[in-house]
Amino acid sequence: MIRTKKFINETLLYLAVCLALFSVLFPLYWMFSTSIKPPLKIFSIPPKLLIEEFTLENYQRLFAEVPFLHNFLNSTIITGGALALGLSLGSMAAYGLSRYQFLGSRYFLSFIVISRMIPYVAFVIPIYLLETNLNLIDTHLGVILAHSIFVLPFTIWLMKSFFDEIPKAYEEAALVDGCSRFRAMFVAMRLALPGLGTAAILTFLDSWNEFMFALIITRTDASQTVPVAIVGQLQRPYQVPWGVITAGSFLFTLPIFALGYFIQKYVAKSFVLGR
Amino acid sequence: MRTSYGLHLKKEAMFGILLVMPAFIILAIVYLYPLAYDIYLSFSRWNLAPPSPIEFIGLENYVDLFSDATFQKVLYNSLFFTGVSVPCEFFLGLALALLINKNIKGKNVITTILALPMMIAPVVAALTWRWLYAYDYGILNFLLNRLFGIEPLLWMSDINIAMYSVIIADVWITAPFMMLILYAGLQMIPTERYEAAKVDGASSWQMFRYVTLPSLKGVLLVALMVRTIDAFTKLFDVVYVITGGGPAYATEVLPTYAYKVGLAFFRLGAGAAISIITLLIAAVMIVAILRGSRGR
Repeated sequence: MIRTKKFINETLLYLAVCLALFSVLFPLYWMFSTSIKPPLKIFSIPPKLLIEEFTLENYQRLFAEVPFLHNFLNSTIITGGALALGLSLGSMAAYGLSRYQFLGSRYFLSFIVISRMIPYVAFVIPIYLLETNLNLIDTHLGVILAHSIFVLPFTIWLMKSFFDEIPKAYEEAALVDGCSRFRAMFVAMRLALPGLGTAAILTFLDSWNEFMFALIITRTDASQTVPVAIVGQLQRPYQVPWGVITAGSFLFTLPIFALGYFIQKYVAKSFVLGR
Repeated sequence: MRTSYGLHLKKEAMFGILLVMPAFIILAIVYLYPLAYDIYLSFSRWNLAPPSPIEFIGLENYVDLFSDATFQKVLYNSLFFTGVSVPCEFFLGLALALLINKNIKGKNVITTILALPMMIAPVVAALTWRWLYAYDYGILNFLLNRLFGIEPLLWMSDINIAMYSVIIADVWITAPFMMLILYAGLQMIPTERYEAAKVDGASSWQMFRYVTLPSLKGVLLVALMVRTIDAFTKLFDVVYVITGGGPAYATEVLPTYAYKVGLAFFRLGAGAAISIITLLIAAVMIVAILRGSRGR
């Protein structure tokens, strides 16, 4: 009796797991399978659930027509730049806020906390005007600076909570040994490396996936990121090239699939730790 | 030591300022100045099409907006979206968190797969859903018809359905976030509490009600607050891609409308006012949630 009840419970449990997995994986399967179908099969009525023919034609068109390589490079440069700027300046500032008190440091700290609740939409118009005046429209730097709006406060907030956990004794020992304060800071940085990793992976995710600011600031292939470029394909005349769009979506998401396990771990960690 | 403390502190403070300064300068340029300018703009009239000089008009933008039927509709849409999507993703997220908290095989792989929707770009998720929602080439209409005999739906262009399509896509994206946060919360509950409840002869529902829920309260509250604010203030990509705010403003929400009014219709002052209204309502929400949680 107890055994059958347990068996039924187990079955229901795995049934629920399967259902959850299916609802996540099916849309992703549909995206991927569309990208490797011949264009004629993509637009067949009724739609073909299974892949009957395999082709790379959509991927060829993606590189020839979009041009995807440019956009992918732009995305890489912008995310790399935003990370480099945000992590270096952000962790320095976090260290300063964690270790020293000075005029306005309290205000700056509360600004960092509050800043994360200000809706991004409040920046749309002023950032557009500011970057027009500074000739930053359609440049990598323009998007990098816009991404600093969320990358910098997040890094400062996360890294400060990591530095707060590190005992000052290590740096004091370094100072006694005759290190400069700057060198002593790097002692603490070394210890806060896991924090820097967490900040890196989460800001990578935010900057890589960001769409709204990139949409406002970029104009041409000189700076357009992948999200802007593939969404732009929706405006193509006659027929929306779903093969090209899904192919671009899949390639753009590959790094996320690769890092998925770590991202998932860090999201929860940073959330529970910081608050 | 004591005598030189004052001087020492000053020097130390200088080093601290030196470290914070670069980040502060960047934030002053890209954050503080734009935010202040947005507030200023919201009190001004400045149209670029046709071009007109900027002029200070006080609260006129705000008064105009609240008497404008389109804006009222957009505000209602944002509230409706928040009110429906947040509870949906919350209960779904809680169910998923309880699921992966059980002893299941391949837990790491399953958790990672279930977390995918929140990790992939919202734009990619939205494009995927737009393609699923397609009327005649769409797989969703096909499957619903074959499995349940449901007639094909105009997911994105029926005025009564479009908002639900946006909500479904958004819940798909955000429920995994809830799942991860609540799962992290579940894992922090000490097992002794469950053991103690078991000794007292508690049923599994009682354990959930009197052990799990109270222990989760803190995490729950923050997760709910973050998601409520995000749903109200940050819904942009999904609407932009799936419906573009249509049909007839049926899915237009505050962020997309602020963008549209400001940078597509080039009414910069009115666009700024919409964003400031969004900010103020979000602030009221935060205070209300915090007050409400303290009251209990």
